[in-house]
Amino acid sequence: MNKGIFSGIIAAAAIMLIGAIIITTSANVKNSSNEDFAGKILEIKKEWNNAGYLLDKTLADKLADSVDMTACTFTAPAPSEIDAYFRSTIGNSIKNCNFQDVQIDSSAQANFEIHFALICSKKISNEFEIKKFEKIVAFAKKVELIYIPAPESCTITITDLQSGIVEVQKTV
Amino acid sequence: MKKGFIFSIDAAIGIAVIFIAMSSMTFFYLQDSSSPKIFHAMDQNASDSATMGFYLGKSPADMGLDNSIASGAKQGFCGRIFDYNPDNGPLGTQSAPEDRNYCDGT
Repeated sequence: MNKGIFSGIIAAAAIMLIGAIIITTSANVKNSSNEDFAGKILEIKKEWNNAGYLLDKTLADKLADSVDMTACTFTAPAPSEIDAYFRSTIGNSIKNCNFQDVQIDSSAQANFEIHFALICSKKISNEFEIKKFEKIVAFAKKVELIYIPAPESCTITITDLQSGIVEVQKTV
Repeated sequence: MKKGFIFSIDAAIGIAVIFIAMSSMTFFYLQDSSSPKIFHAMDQNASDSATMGFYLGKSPADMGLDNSIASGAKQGFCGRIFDYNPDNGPLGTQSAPEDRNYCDGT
C-alpha cells in the first residue's frame, strides 16, 4: 500500500465531518429563521384583524356621536370626520397599522356603509425587510332613532348590519 | 529524518482534526436547547390566548394566565390585544381603545 494513503483517508473523513457540521448548522439556522418569519406573518395578520375590529367599533362610536340628541336627528359624518376618529383609535393602539381612502358608499340613516384600505406592516428578520398585509375593508351600520315627546326622550341604536350586533344603545 | 515521519505527523494532525470536529458536533447536539423552546412556547401561548380570550370574551385568569408578568418571574411573555367599546363614555366624545394583556411567565 502506498505511503500516505491512510493520511488521505483521514483527511477526507475530516473534510466530510467539517462539511456535515456546516450543513447541519446552516439547516438549523434556516429552520429557526423560517419559524421566525412565519410567526411574524401570523402576528401581522392578528394585528390586522384587531385593527379592523377597532375601526369597526370606532365607526359605530362616530355614528352615535353624529346624532344631535336635543333634536333627535342624525347627520351623516363626512369622510374626514371618520378619518379623524380612525386616526385617533389607531394612534392609541396598533401603531404599525394604517388606513387609506375612507369612502362612504351609502350615507342613508337606515344603511350607512363605508369602505377603505387597511394596511399593517412589520419588520421581519432584519431592519430592511418589511412585510405588509393590505386588504379592503367594508363596514355597514344601521342608525335608528326613536323620539318620544312626552316625557321627552331620544333613543339611539346603532346596529352592525354584517353581524347583527347592537353596538350602541343610549337614551337621552 | 526517519522513514515514515511525514506520514506519522500527517496522521496525527488528521486524527486531531477528526477529534476536534467530533467534539464540536457532540457539544452542538448535546447543548441545552430547551430554554429557547420554552420561550417560544410561552410566547406562542400568550399570543394565542390573547386572540382566543378576546374573541371568546374570556379574561386572562379564565385562560390560566395573568394580566401582567409577576415581579418575581425570571421570564415572561405577554400577548397584547385591544378592545373598543363605543357604548363607553358620553355621546359626542370618542371612546378610547383599551389594551388587554394575557401574560405567561415563570
